[in-house]
Amino acid sequence: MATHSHAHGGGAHADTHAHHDEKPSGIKRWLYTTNHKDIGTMYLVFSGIMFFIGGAFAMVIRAELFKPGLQVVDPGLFNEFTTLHALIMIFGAVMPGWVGLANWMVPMQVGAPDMALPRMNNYSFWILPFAFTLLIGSMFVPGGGPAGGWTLYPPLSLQAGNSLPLTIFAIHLMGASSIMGAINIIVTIMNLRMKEMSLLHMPLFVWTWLITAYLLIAVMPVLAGAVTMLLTDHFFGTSFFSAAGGGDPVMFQHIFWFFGHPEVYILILPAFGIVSEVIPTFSRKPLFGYDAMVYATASIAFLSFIVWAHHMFTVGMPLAGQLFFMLSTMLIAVPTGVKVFNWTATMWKGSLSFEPPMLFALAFLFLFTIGGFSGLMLAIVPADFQYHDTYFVVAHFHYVLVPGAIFGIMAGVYLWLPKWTGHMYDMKLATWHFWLSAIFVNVLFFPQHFLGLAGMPRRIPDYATQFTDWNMWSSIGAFGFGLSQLLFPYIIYKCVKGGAKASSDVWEGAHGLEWLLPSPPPYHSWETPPRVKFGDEPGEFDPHAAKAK
Amino acid sequence: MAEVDPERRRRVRRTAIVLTLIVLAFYFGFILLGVVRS
Repeated sequence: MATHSHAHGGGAHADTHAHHDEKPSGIKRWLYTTNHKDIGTMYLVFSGIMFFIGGAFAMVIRAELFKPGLQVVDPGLFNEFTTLHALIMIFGAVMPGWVGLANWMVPMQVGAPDMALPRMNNYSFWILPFAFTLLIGSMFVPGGGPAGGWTLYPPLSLQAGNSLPLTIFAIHLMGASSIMGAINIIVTIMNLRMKEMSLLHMPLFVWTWLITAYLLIAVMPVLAGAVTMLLTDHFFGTSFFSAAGGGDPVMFQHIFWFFGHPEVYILILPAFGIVSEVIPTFSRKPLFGYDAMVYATASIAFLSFIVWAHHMFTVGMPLAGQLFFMLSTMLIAVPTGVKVFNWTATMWKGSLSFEPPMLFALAFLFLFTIGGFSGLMLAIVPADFQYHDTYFVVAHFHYVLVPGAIFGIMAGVYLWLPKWTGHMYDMKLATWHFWLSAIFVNVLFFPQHFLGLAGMPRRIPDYATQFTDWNMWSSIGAFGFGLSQLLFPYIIYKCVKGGAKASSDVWEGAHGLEWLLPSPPPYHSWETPPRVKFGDEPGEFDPHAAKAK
Repeated sequence: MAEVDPERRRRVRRTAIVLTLIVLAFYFGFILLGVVRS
């Protein structure tokens, strides 16, 4: 395991920045901060808290489904838990996790002193605690919390009690926060990037985030529009989605999924960026096919806008529509295949080592691909008629989002944690965290494929007895996965508190501007853009040559 | 902190405004779609 602690470089920058490292103290530092590192930390802590709240809901769901019959919660509460689990995990855990990583890393990776709109950065974070207090608080109003699923399909969602306006307002706040974050990231990358860094010199994490931010700009307002129309249907007598008033409930599904499918890529594209940083680092080789990776990411983002109706084949649509959405969905496999090929080719003949970030990236590569394959199965219209609304769909999107998006966040945190804290973390414990997560995530979600193929419907608290065995396995996997996640905050806490000193470049194969800064980086970094020469080839950048200059 | 280049400040503001306009166009555009379709 030849890895960290290469002592050269970074010292000169530490000296230059040392006198700028004063920061305010106490609660005011966190309330009023406009510093991208502080805000990144707050996003990541918030994301972690939401991950455990959403995870606790999942534990209750799996406890209820451990065996047939009703034993833990009543069906109404079960529906609230499935709805809130999804909303919290998507909008509270994964998206803020990515924004946190972007806040920390994008300015450091493009040679910018901070985000372009630091005050707005503060606002976009501080909106979130209010949004989620509203959302979770809606469980305690008369009639209970939202229970119609995260898709909020009318007319079911309109039958909610007093929680509906709270949920809608919470979604508006989350949307506003995401849009402000996205604007900030685009403006930073396009205007504050160091002059010498052309677009095709940007690190892949920056590229994937730039494309993600454009997706956010385009689709978060669409969700906001959809829930605004739900609100006016419920309270102001409009009939956007009410058939009785001349409206169309299926229109909601079209509008929702025009947002919802790109949303899936909002959750996963930054993970592609992280994996594209981690695999070259621990293969000690440049990324294979950098420019192809950029174009593949852009292609996936474009295609994500023209596939939305594959979520609603069973609602009924003309044959031409079915064919169009089936084929356009299958087309996404092409750029995704390019990515998987390039990650694999990067490792080919590389000098591999298997530290925690690499382990999570490799698990991502295998398990996300499984989620991709089941997605292809679901794209086939006649097959989807069988799979729709079964546990097969649940297995599919959890393979994409847990060992996909969540493992991507974990790989990113394990890659950059020594840079943030200045300490190495407990490698042994982090390796344990990986293996427990990787084993239990499969015990948790793989049996759900079998349950779905056997016909078990999703979003139910009770089921027929023939589904018992695989549900028990799935629940055991869930409890194991949930418990093993407790290691994650402990490893981070221990690392923040102390540990072996990390050098500036931390990992032997580290590449990119962030590794030129000392570990931890000064409170204000790159006040003067770094002096770095980039190569002629796309993505070519040699940090060692840069330091020698 | 070094003085911010006024040209860069203008570009930051312009990019942010254009993006905000795109957001508003999508928001009201889809509500308009709802009005037309219902």
